[in-house]
Amino acid sequence: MHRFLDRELDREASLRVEAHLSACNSCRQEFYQLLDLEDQLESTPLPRISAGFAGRVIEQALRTREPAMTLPMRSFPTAVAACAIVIVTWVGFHIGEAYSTARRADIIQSALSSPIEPGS
Amino acid sequence: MKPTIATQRVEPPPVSDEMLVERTAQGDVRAFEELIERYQDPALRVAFRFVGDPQEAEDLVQETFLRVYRNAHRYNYSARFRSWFFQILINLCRDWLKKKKPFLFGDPPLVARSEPDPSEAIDRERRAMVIRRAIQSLPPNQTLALILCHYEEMSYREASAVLETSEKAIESLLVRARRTLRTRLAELR
Ligand SMILES: [Zn+2]
Repeated sequence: MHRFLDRELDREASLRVEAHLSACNSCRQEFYQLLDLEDQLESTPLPRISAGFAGRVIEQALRTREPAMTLPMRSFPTAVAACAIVIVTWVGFHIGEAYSTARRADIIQSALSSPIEPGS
Repeated sequence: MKPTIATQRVEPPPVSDEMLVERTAQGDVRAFEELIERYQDPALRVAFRFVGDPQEAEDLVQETFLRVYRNAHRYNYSARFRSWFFQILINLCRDWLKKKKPFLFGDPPLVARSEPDPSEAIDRERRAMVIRRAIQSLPPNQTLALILCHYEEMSYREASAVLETSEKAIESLLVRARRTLRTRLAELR
């Protein structure tokens, strides 16, 4: 009966239910009660979405972040560049460090001492 | 004579929801806006009938759209967008129910028959509230089945996809929901 009410039945099955309803008093009563309930449920007013809703959602969506799929795709070159810079800097620093460790003391010494002893 | 391709092409077909999610995933804000236009009203109806408060309902709808935006890339075509969308909304509604303050749980007030009837409008409003509360006070899955199948006119199949259950279970939820409501609302007649 609920499947009939919710139009879930195919034509053939619907016809069978209709035929039964016209013949069977108690099922017909039951069905009318269901229809009454359906009518009652209809009578509820609904709120409307507030003005500017779409705009606010979009604004917040953009503020939070890009759709996740585009994020890695768009920023991929940037990420590669950033990694490259980090690696180059790190390698460069360590090569430089190894090269200069021996002289660092002297360089610092001379840098510190140069304003004091311009002549050295 | 065969018609040319140009004469056959009358109007561009409306863009499907599924296409719009795909474009949203690629960062197309206009596509996202179109999805909001299409779904804001049904979403608000569903949320409001479940939570009963217009502002809370709109907050849930807003959060649903934000999740659609953030997860658009995860949408796969195994389900219709509509089902996927309502799944998100309904999961948020269920979370809301878990967090909501207990005093809101109270039994639905029945019509106060002793009160004099001030005006027809107020009476109508009260009836509507009684009906809404009666629906909301059903077990959550019964409420949801009723909202989706009765109000949103979803098929049992689609409702079963949204609520992640079987069609048989949907039918049984509806039978129980209607049986309870018939008893509770009998006094309104
Ligand atoms: Zn019968």
